[in-house]
Amino acid sequence: MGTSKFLGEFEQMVLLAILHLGDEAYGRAIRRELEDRASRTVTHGASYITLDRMVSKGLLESELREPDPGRGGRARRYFRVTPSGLSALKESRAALQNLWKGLEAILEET
Amino acid sequence: MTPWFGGGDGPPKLAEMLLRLVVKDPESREGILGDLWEEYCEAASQRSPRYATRWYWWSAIRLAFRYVTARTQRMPLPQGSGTVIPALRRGGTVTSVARDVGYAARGLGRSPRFSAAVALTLGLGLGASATIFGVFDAVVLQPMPFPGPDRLVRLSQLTPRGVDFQVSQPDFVDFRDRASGLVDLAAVQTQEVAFESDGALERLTAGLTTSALFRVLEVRPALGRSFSEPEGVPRAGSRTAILSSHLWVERFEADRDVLGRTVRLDDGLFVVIGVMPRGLELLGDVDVWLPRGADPLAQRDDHRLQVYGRLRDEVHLLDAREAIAAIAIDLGESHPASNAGWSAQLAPLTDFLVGAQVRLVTVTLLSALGLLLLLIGANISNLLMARTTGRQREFGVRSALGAGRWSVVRLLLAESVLLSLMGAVAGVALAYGLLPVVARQPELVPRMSDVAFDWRVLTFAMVASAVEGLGIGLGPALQSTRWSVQRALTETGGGTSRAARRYRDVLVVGQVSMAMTLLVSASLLVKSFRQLQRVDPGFRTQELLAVEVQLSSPGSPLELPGRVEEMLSNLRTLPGVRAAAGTSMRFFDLSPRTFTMLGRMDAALDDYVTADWRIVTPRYFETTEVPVRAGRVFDDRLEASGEAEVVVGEALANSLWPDEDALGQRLRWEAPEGIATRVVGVVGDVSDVHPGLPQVASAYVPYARVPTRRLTLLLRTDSPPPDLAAAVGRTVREVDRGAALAELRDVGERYVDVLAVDRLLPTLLAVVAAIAVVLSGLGVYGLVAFTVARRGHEIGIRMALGGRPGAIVAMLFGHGVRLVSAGVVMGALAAAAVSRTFASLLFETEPTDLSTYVGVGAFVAVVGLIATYVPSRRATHVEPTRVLPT
Repeated sequence: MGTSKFLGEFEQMVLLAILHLGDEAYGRAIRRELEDRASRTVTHGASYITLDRMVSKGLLESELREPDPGRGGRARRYFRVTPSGLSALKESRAALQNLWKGLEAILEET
Repeated sequence: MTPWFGGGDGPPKLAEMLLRLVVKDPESREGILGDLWEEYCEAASQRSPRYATRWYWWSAIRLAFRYVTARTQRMPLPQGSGTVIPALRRGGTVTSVARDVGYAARGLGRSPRFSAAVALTLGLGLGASATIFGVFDAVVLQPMPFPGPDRLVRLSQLTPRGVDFQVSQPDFVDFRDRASGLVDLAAVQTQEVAFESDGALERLTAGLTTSALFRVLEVRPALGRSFSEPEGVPRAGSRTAILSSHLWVERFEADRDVLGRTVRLDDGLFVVIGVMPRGLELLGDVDVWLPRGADPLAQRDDHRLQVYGRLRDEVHLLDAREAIAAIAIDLGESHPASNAGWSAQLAPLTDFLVGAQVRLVTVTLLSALGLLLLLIGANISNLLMARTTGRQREFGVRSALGAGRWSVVRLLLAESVLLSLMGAVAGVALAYGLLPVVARQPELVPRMSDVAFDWRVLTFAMVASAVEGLGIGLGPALQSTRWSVQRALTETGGGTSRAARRYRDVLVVGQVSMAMTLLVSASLLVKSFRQLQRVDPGFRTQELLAVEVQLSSPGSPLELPGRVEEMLSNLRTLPGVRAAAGTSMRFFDLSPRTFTMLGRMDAALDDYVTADWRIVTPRYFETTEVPVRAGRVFDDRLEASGEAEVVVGEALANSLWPDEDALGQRLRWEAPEGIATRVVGVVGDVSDVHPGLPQVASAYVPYARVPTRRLTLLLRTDSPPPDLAAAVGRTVREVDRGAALAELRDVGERYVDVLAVDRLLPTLLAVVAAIAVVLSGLGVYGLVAFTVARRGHEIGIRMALGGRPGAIVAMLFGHGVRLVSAGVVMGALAAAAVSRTFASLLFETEPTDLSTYVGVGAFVAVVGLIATYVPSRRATHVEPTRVLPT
């Protein structure tokens, strides 16, 4: 049951959302990005647990910035894609692209 | 309290605490709590804070649930051993408890409808109990809002026959000066005053007291100062007033500059020197406090002071009581005319304010709810057992893989505790919603407005749910320890062990008996209430309107009868009014009334009887339709001269002249040397305070002889126009411009209102009992159905060997009959014991009323038997070929 090299669909979406957000990727913004770009409603539980898991897998790293009174004095936790996260994303894309190859005709017909 | 649940500046703290408990990683926690805070603020500003709070709770609970379950899903398998399943590994206590809870949550999540049904049932029971506990706590348990409440006492005087009276002014002075065990004694006398605001006159209740009241209660005015001593001296120059806190808020908009303003009360101006703190309304509905001057002319037999005192720290109530009683004996010797035979008593103030009846009502309700919780527990335990039995394969597999029995027990307990926690959340929400509604019914119980959701109610709900959780889980958990792995994995049947069967039998008997006890209790109370409703008040309450008025001060009291007569004759001309009269009575009002002692001309004081006396104008009996039994009543011509006349009720006539005709007899008032009056008429007895109170002897005297400024005007109407109240006000003020009127009220409605408290307990208990009967019916049905299903194997064998279906049903049903009968009998015995405790709440109903027991017993038995018979019949549908292994 080793860690899979490939990323789950949701993990890929999270990584992409974080890359889109750049410096502004914290929990709430990531959820919004997913909702806006991918039209997916994401529950708190799913997003935070996935983020935690990806941090522990080394795909993401996170840091707390300065406390914010608008958040009850709590800091935002910003996420950044690590090099290994980036390469996993690339691998997944490459794998998918390979699978897509040659199927354009069928897929475009429908 | 509120910030914990919502309503503070930020999100509900309790929900945040929940998240903090569940999300272990500090960095993750910081991020999540902050994000949720942002979203909360956004929801609060875009929608409403209430919505945001609900949203927060919902999100937090879901998030917490996800975190708990995610942790157990991700639990790594131990390296190198594929045999031990994770939940059953030995670990630290904390982690293993967390793991149990996680597994339990997942297990329950797999059957959401079952879990929701159980949680809601529990929530209903817990919520109802927590609500009643909240009332009980605020009304009975919580101390009064005064320091050292247990040292506060009320002093009253007792007539030679032991009737509790207020204290007379001269006696009060003697008690105060001579009672050594008390810090001080304070007297309060209430009277009605007319209060002018915005040009209209309004009747207020004034409490006349001295600064001693502040010393006794150990309170200070919320604003301003208390009365200074000279003001307690009669007619001392400037007149001052202290506003009650509610009058200050309602009439003066809580304006702090009210101090120094003047208010017009009756015909005098009073300077406002202070505002009373909240909590004083416990002592009675006083709107404004005025300094009480000692009246040098006050009589010893004029009992109108409510007296409060505070015990000295080192003095015991019993000693103080003895000292007071000794002073009363002394007074009897020194003032025999007024005090001979009288004694005095000290009672804790809480007893006086809360009253034994309210205490008993709440305790009864609480016990009923306790019983209901037990019943719910039994029912759920039963459901869980069925579920557990269905899962024995799962547990068998767990055991086979190395799980100890203890870990299975722990898992089952965790499940039931989790269920009851969910029930607690539902119950707390219910109590949170219900308590404010209950608090808005102040007429039901004194101090009801203090009822609120607080940490005590929360603690109660939590403890109750924890006990409930352990209770319901214990049966299935213990049952599970008896299985053998081998049997669980090979047999299809199960749960048929002797112990399991006995446990189920006990559950059936227990449920039936609890339902029986509750239903008998409720039926007794309902029957008692019916009796109460059947009491004939002695006059026609329908189409009778009453308005209390306070006339302006006359030059001489002799002017009053003429003024009132003019008012009444004008009122009689109003459309829809058939008859009108005046009286000193306030119908269906439980406030203290004026009693007097009446006796035959030759009687000794000991033979005097206590009578309720009323002042009535001519045509009173015609208006109220109190029947005249003999003689005549006062007529329109005012009794001007000659001998004073009195009309007596039948009860008084019979007790004074049991063997003679009362008409024409003479009776004395108050004392052997008191004034004498001649009985000119005998009328029917009335029950115009509360139908449950014993009818007291009553005597009526004509208003012309005792003119008072305060009286109730009565109108017998006949399809009155809607603006009658305004017309009455105009008519009264045409005659007396300064008259203050209260609201025009329907006496029939008052009668219904005064029964509200008496209706409360039977109604609530009937609801509880109905739930109990339904639950126990379902419970018995479930248990029997379960037995039939479990014994399918055995039944199949019997049928395969030629057993007739009828005999098999009879066997199962017979067993059910025995259990139900045992339950009914035990329930009846329990009810007989329990109803004795609330016998004093029953009106003309015996706690052992046979017809109630028989009726309820038959009903419960029928319900129980149907619940047994229906599933028993199913046994005949058992196909031997299907249940027996081929």
